[in-house]
Parts: sequence; C-alpha cells; structure tokens
Amino acid sequence: MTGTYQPPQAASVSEPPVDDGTRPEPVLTTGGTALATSGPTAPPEPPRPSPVAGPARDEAAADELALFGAEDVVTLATRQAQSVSVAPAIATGVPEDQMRALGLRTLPEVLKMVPGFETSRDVQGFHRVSARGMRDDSALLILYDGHRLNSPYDAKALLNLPTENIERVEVVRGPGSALYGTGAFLGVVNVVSKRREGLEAAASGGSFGSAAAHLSGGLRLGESGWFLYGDAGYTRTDGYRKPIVSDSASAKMEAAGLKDEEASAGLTNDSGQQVNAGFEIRRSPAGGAQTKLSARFLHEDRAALVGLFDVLGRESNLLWSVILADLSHEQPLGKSGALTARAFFDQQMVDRLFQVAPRGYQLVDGVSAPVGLFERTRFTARTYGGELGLDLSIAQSHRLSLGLSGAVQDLPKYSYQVNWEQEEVLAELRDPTGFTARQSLKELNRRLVAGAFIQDVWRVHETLSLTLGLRADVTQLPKTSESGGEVLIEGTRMVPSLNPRLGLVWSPGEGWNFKLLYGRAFRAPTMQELAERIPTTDLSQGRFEGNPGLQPATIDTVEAGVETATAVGENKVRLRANGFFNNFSDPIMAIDTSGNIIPLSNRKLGVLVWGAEAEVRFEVSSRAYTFINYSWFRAIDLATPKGFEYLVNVPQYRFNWAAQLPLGRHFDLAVLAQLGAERRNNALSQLETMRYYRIPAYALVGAQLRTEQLADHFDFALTVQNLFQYQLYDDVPRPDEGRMPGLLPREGLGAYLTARMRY
Amino acid sequence: MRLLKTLQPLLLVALLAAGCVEYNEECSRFMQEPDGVAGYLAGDANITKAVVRTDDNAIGQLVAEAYYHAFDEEQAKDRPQLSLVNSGAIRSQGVCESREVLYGGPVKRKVLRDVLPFDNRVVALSLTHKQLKNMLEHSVFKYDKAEPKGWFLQIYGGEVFFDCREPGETLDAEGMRATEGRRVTRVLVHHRSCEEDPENPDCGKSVELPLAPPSETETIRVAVDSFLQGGGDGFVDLKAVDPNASDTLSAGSFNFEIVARYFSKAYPAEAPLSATAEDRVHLHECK
Repeated sequence: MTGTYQPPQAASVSEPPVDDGTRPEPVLTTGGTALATSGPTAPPEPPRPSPVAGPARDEAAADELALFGAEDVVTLATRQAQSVSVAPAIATGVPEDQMRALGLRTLPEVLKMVPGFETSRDVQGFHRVSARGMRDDSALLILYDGHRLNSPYDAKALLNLPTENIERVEVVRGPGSALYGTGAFLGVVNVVSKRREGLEAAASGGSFGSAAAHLSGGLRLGESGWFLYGDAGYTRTDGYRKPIVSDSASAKMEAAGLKDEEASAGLTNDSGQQVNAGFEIRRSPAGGAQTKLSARFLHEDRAALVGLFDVLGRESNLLWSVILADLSHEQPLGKSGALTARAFFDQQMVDRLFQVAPRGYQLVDGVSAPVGLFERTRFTARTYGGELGLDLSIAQSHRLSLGLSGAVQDLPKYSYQVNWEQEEVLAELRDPTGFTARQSLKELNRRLVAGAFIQDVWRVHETLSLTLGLRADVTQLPKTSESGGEVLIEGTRMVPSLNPRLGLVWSPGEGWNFKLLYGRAFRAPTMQELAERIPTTDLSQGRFEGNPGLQPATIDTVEAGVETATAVGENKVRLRANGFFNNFSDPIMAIDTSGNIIPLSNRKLGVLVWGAEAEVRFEVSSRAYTFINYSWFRAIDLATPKGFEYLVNVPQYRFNWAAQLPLGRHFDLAVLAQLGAERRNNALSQLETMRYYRIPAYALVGAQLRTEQLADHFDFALTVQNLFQYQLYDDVPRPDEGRMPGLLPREGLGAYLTARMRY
Repeated sequence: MRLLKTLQPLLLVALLAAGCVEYNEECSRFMQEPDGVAGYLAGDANITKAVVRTDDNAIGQLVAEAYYHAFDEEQAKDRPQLSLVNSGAIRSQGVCESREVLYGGPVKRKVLRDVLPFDNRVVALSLTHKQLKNMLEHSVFKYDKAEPKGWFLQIYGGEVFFDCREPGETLDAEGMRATEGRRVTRVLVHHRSCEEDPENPDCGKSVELPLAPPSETETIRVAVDSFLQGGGDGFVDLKAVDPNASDTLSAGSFNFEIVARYFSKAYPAEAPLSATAEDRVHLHECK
C-alpha cells in the first residue's frame, strides 16, 4: 500500500533528519511550506547532517510522477528516514491517513494489507502474523517507537493495538538482523506513535459490544525547546461468540451426561479490554542536541478465545502488562554526523490462567472437578540495556553508521501451577508436587545479548547507491551435553552470529527504481523454547516442551525489486514488484512425532521459500484511488519426502484490493477486499499427515463511509468488516477426530462507528 | 489504453500465479508401494482403542512377533526372549479415513501404514528382571476399560498374569514412579525351540521369572521400539538402559517396514494370520 491522503501537490523529501531509532520526523515540503498530514504541524527539527539517502532524484520527473500523497517513508531499512522507493529493502509504509481511509482499526488489520503478510488467530486468542509463508512469533521483530515489543521469554508481542494513536506503521520484509540483531528474521515492523502538537480524540463503538476512547496530544513548553507528548487509549469488547463443534473433553462430558451429543462443546469467548498509554518529553533546543525521555504502558485483560490446546476453556483469563521506557540523547557532530546514546528498560508481566477441562469434568471414575481443571503460568520478563550509535557523512558520497548494543534479558519470576494432580482435584492452584520448572535454572532464565554493527550507504553514482552492512552478535545460550536421551545443562556459552547485508539501488530516471538485495539474519531460541516443561498428564499429551540444546536459526535472503511510477494523463500509477528467495537453516520447529509431549528441535535440512509480491496503485485524485497488491510463495521443507514437502498452513497467495471514491464534497466511500488461498495442514511427520484439515480459500469484503473534516475539526466514519459474513476459520493444534475437527471459527460481520476530533 | 497496457502483464502474471498453488498429496502416506500387499488376515481384526488397549489383540501381537523375529540373524545370546509393544502404537485413525477393523484377506501396505503410523526403530536390549516387572506393572497403570490407555502392552514370546485387586503403581508429577505396583503375579518366558536355539539350555521350555523379589542383576533380552526405549508412554525404566551399551542392538529399518516384511513372509495367502489373538495377557479383576 503506498501514498497518503494529501492535497494534490507534488511532494519531495528534503533533508530527512538523522534518526535516533525511535521516531524519525521527515520534513515534507512543497515549495517551502511544511506539509501537514492532518491538523497541527510537527515541531521543527534541529539542523541535521545531510544524509546520503539513496540515488539522487530527478526533481522535475519526481514532481510529475509523485502520487497525490506524499511518498512512504521508512526508517527501518537503514535507521535513517528514507523513501520506500529508494530504501535498500523491500518496505511498506502505512501512514495514518491510509489507516483511517480504509477503516483499519487494529495493527493486525494493517499488517493483513501488507504484501507478503497474513494474520490469523490461534486457539489461545493470540494474533499471529506470518510473513512470506512462515508463521513464527520469534522471527518477526515488532518495534513500538523503536522498542522491542516481543517478550524476551516467549517472543510474543502484544499485537492487538488500536491504530487511533499510531502515526504510521513501517514494515520491512526480509531479514533485518544486520541492523537489529536477533529476531529480525522474517521482517521488522515498527509502530510509530503520534507525536505532534495539538489535541486529538476519538471514540468508537459497535459490534460485539465494542467501545473505545483515545486521546493524544502535544504541547510546546515555552521557547526553550521542550515538548511534551502523550497518548492514551482504552478499548473493550464482549467479543464474538461462535460454536466450537467439539473438543477433546466432549466425549467424556457426554459419557458423564454433562453434554448432549448433538450440542456443541460451547462458544468462543473473545471478551477483553486494553489500556495503552504513553508519553514523551523531548528537549530540542536550537543548539541541535536532542534529549528524549519516553515511556509506555500497555495492559490487556482478556479471555482465551478457545483455550490452551484442544479443550474449550471459557473461564480462562489472560493478563498481560508491558512497560517500555527509554532515555536517549542525540548529539550532532557539526554538519557531518551525530552521536546517539540510548538506555532502555522493558518489562512484560504475564498471568495466563487456562481452564484445561470444563466444570464437572471427570478426572477419573468417581473424581470430578466441580469448577473444572486449571493451569496457570505467571512470569515477569525484563530487558535492560543500552545502545551507542555514530552516523557520519564522509565525502558527500558515504553515510557511515556504527553501533554498539548490549542488553540483559532476565526472567526474575516464573511460576506454573495446577489445581489437580494424578487422580486428585485440589482446592486451589499450587505448584505440582515434585515438579521442577527449568525456568529456575540460571543458565536458562538470564542471558546477555550484545551486538555491533557497521553500515555504509555509498552513493556510487547519481543513479546508484550501494548499502553494505555487517552486524556481529553474541547471545548467551546454555551449554549442553546429552546422556541417556536426556539433555544436561553444563553452564552457558556465548554463541556468535555474523549477519551481512548488501543492497544495490539503481534509479536510472523516468520514475524507475531497481533493487538487488542480500541479507542474513539469525534468531536465537527464546527462553521458553529452551526451558519450558510441563508435567506428564493425560491432558498434556500432544503439547511441546523446551529443549535446552536448541541452536540459533539463520536465514539467507536474496531479493530483487523493481518500481515504476508513471503519469497517465492527469492520473498517476505506481507499480512495484519483487521476488525473493529465503534459505532457512536449522529452523526451530514443533513437529509431532509421537503424540506425547514433544521437545522442540532444529530442523536439520532446513526450509526453502521463494515467492513474489506486486503492488499497483492508481490515483485519480487524493480522494479517488485504488490499489491492489498480490503475494505468492512456495515453501518446502527439505527433510520430508517428495509429495509431503510443501508448507501450506499459510495461504500461498493473497490479494488485497482497496478503492476510495469521493461521494460529493463531504463523504468518501472506501471498499476493500482480501482474498487468501486454501490452507491445509503441513505434513512434516506421519502423524501430521493424519491430522488433516482443509480451510477453503476466503474472501473478506469491508467498506467504510467517512466524512471529510467537518468544521475543520471533526470527522466520522462507519466501518463494516466482513460485509458478506464469510465463514472464516483458522487452524487448531489438533484438528483430528476426537479433538477439535471443527477448527477455530472466526468472527462474522462487524460494524463500528467512530467520531474524531482534532484541535 | 496506456494504463491497460501497463497493467495487462501484471494482471496476467497475477492470474497465472493465483493458479500456482501446490499442496501435498492428499491421503498419502510416508511410504513406498502403498498398494502392495503386506500380508493376509484370516478374518476381521478389531483395532479400536477399546479392544486393542485392554486385551490381547491379533494386530498388536503381530507387531510384537515381528519385533521378536527382527533379530533372528543375530547371535543367539543377543536375540530377544520377549517383545513388548505399546498398544498406542496401533491406530484406528488413518490418513484419510478411520477404521474399526482390518478386514480379512489381503492387507495393503497403505492400510497397515495407517495402523502403524509412528516411525520408530526396533531395538533389542537387556533389562533386569526388576526393570521388566516394573515395565509390566506400568502396562496396567490406571487400567480402565472405559478409558483405554495406550501404554497397555501387547506381548510375544511369553505370558503375563495381572491381578488388578492389588495396588497399581503410582507416578509423581514428573512422570517418575512414586510407588511400585504389585499387580504382576507371574511372568512366563516361552523360549525358542531347540531347533531354532540349540545352545539355550531352556530351549523349548516355558520358564517362570522369579518375582519375589525380581532380580536387579539377572537380565532378560527384550525387543521394543525406540519410543519405549526413550521412556515414552511413561516407561521410565527403559530410559535407564544405556542406549550405547554393546548389547543394545537396532534392527536397522523403521518399525513399519519390519512389520510389513515379516507379515508378508510369515502370513501369506495360504497361511493367513488369525484374527483371534492368543491368550498371553491374563487379566484378573481388571475392569
């Protein structure tokens, strides 16, 4: 998706400022006038060294060919603000206006519109994102204003963020470890908060008992260069209710007379509420140095949608709190560079109570659980550390960036409790007798990660730029040996990783850009993947446990892209297309070979994925445009025999189409359609060939009727999702008979009304 | 017109690519010659959980028999004297269909593969009498006909007697034994015929293992699959056996191929396998 909703004047990017990795603020100018997105202007930036942001632009051609909207800008590709067209990465920027125009209310809805991405839900209610055919929480780095949002324990990120207080979402497909270290494996997503003067508020309500309120604002404090920004939002919903055909407790419940054979196992429970609040204090005096203190608090309290594994547990409750804080300082070094320093602290506190058997469940003959059986996991995971960075412009044609980072990932608290043992139902939750959680081992609950990178963006020629980068990381992992089939932990070791990147961008003119890119990325196993253990019970069979012997996974990616912008009369067309090839080595995968509790393992022969993505955007005016994007991949597991090697649990092709049309002076109508290919189970083991499911290709249609700004301050929007009530499903861990053959039903039609105000 | 010309190739590529989806072969098994005949059954053999996991079963005993004979080429001292198979290894849910019986007549390889879906090696190892007894106690751990357990063992090469009036073993939260069971009352080992095993002084005899108490030093050769060898299904005693011991032998192929080859050789059309199991597991008061 490209472009923003802007007045119809050509825009050019002029001297994008040095970026400190948290929030870049490019100044977009048209004939010298600061061009606002909507509402108050961004604060002026101190002078920044001239960056080498890519090949030079033919300004006249650019003016003619520029879309009515300003060009997408990303910082993720090089840590400097750059146009998506010339950044040495396959990138997408989704600005605020695009999110508003299309009625994209949450971050997963935004990501679903990005080529190469797909979103889904799992039975525990977590939003899952897959990129280029692979679905792995640990492999997609999610940043919120530059902070890692992925938990250091299990790499999950609190993804279900409302978009009201988000200024833009930047996405880079492909490896980003050369800049960001571990976890930037399949791609990097950066969520950028609104940071502008004025006051904005929004309220919405609609289907499933949903309601939300958001506030954001910014204030200049005097003339000494101090600014204060803040945002806060609250959302709540009763969630959708769809029947679960049957689960693994159904047979027992029917045998005990507690459930009719014809009745479903129960309804999904997607109720919840979320609080998201952040602030930033910034000092940007005329001297050029900038100091920022920022913090954010996220809290989510929700039900589990279905449950932990293959039983509907309606009384499950999941709590999740996230604190992100950092202090940064950027010191310009004359006109040729800048030095940045940043200290950060992140904390995630989780309390997940899962009902693993319903009320009245018969544990054994004569022993029933009146309140059901429960399993509770609680942990606190912290990351704290610092970064140093240096950016230098050298001889007008080189932009050199150097960085050092170090962090400690810590799990100071962990507990696992159940309310049953063997054949006894307990009065309260407690630690299982005789069970030792491995998370108490110091080799597994604390680790050091450190990295250093160097990157040069070299303007070889007016039309050609070359980006070369290299990052070296060390990650502290357990040292293990094997004896008698058991993995023994014998201390820790520092595991190095070297991640190079190369990006060639050629802009010969006439609106054409060509890219050729290579990158390597790695991801270390998470603490959970190393340490997780669960007691052996009848209810834990088929689940996975950690393996301290896991090794990091790596990916090598080659990408080629082409982009052209052309004017067709008074209309504008932009085409983008790219192809990619990924070679995954030692991917960490959960493959069921026994139906018991299975340890995670590195898949020795690896996985290959290749594919293509294309986008076309056609604009008649800033209010009338359409775009379509398409992505396709083929993923092959090299360790499985021919005939079983395709990984098909993510749609192999996806179409996104959207269009906006003005309806008179005051209204805009947007329509979007999302198509995804049929999904089936992967067949990585004989058992997995038997756990067969087929989820048909889907087509979701949404629409939004929105007003233009009324009285300069207000606008309203009526958004409808899944307009034709398409019956959508997602996969479940055990789709076989006797477990959950009905899969995970997703929500149907939803309608929401939003009112916004800006001052 | 220019716009259409510009878009046309892209749309064409998109349309073509939309058709370029590939899926794994539906209803296929990880195997060669799926339509070949593995062996012959004389009648319909029930393979539901309720039957396989609670009593002697013809198919379970076939698997145990195949494991037993997988080491016939080894020296006599290394051949197993008993073989044990967890009933959970025999499945009624197939790749595309579930079945309650294997019908009499030729049994196709792909059908047998559905019944034996797990890929494990077959090993022969030495267990102490105590380890064997504990293993057999675990076979009837939480025995319940209404809730059949996959760790119920099928046997070849001997017989076992259980009295479920006695207390069974108990396990702790880590799956380790908390208390030993007392349900195993007799274990008989039917040694190979003297023709087959002339050097064995017990050849041709049925010998009762002394169990009061079971020896912690005397050993017996047992064939199991690598799943049980790794302590699967709660058979924790097997984890204590050194997998690298000189007398721990692997049959080489995966268990399915071992069973399929044996079935084909031992039970051809003219001498099919009986669908009625032999009495090897004697259950007293087990409900």
